[in-house]
Amino acid sequence: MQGSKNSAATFSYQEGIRRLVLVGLLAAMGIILHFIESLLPAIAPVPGARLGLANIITLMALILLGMKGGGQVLFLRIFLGSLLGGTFMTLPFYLSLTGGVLAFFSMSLALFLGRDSFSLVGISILGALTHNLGQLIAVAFIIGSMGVFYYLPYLVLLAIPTGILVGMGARYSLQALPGRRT
Amino acid sequence: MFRKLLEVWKKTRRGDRIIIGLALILGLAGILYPFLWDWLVGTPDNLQVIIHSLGAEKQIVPMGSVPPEGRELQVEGPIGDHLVQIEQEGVRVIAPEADPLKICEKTGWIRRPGATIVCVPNQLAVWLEGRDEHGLDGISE
Repeated sequence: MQGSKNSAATFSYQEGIRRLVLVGLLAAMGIILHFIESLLPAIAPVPGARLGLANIITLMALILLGMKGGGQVLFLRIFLGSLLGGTFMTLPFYLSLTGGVLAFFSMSLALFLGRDSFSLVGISILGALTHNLGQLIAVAFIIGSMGVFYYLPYLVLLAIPTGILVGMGARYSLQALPGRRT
Repeated sequence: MFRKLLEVWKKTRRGDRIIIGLALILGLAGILYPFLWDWLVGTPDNLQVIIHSLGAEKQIVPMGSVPPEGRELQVEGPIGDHLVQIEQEGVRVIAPEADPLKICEKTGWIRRPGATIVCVPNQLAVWLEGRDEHGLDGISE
């Protein structure tokens, strides 16, 4: 009796440590990926057009840790990343936040409601689309004009190849993890 | 390359294909719509350049009032001054040195109504509109 209680406690303690380490690792990798992406040239002369490498991490976190852990990784990445990059409470920070949160909720919805009908590729395209939409809404508020929505069709088209790349990145990364299948 | 793409396509599920299809259709429709509009209705000849900065309309320049050699306007912003070049056939923006990505400059010339140049770090938007002289899009009777 005593023994089994102890081992259960040890198990949840270990599980807690595992989650803590995973959240920390994923957030750190997300920050680095975001930084690497900022060094790359813009992929198209369209405001908001990005590869979205950091979305690989958000997707992995959602699958490995569920919605709670995924949210923790997302907020850690955005807050710590902007603090380290010196953009906290400035424009890029708000853009990451609105885009990131909208993409997070849409991807969670697709993951937990329709896991059978969506693969990681589709979920990441959905994330890219909603990320763009969130960013454009934020930009429209900041600039104070609806003109930015002129770029929405171009962003929607670009979301397909970038979403496929990010989804494949997440799939291969998850497959490479020990003891995990997707 | 194509084999790889085919492999990706085979692994997609129903929901993925719906999302990809919808994005393709909506994206292409959104891009082609202005061209179709031009073709059906024709480009308005009273195009005006709207310069929007820091959340307010700063200047409206009718394209008809621009001299043949063009016109240049300086627009101030939080990170530097933009140069808005207006010529008979279009409008473009030269970004300040401090702009890291210079996306507005890379957008190049805009020519059709609705086309917009945006500089997010400098909170500037420049677009073309087919307005009449009262500043209204149209009057219903």
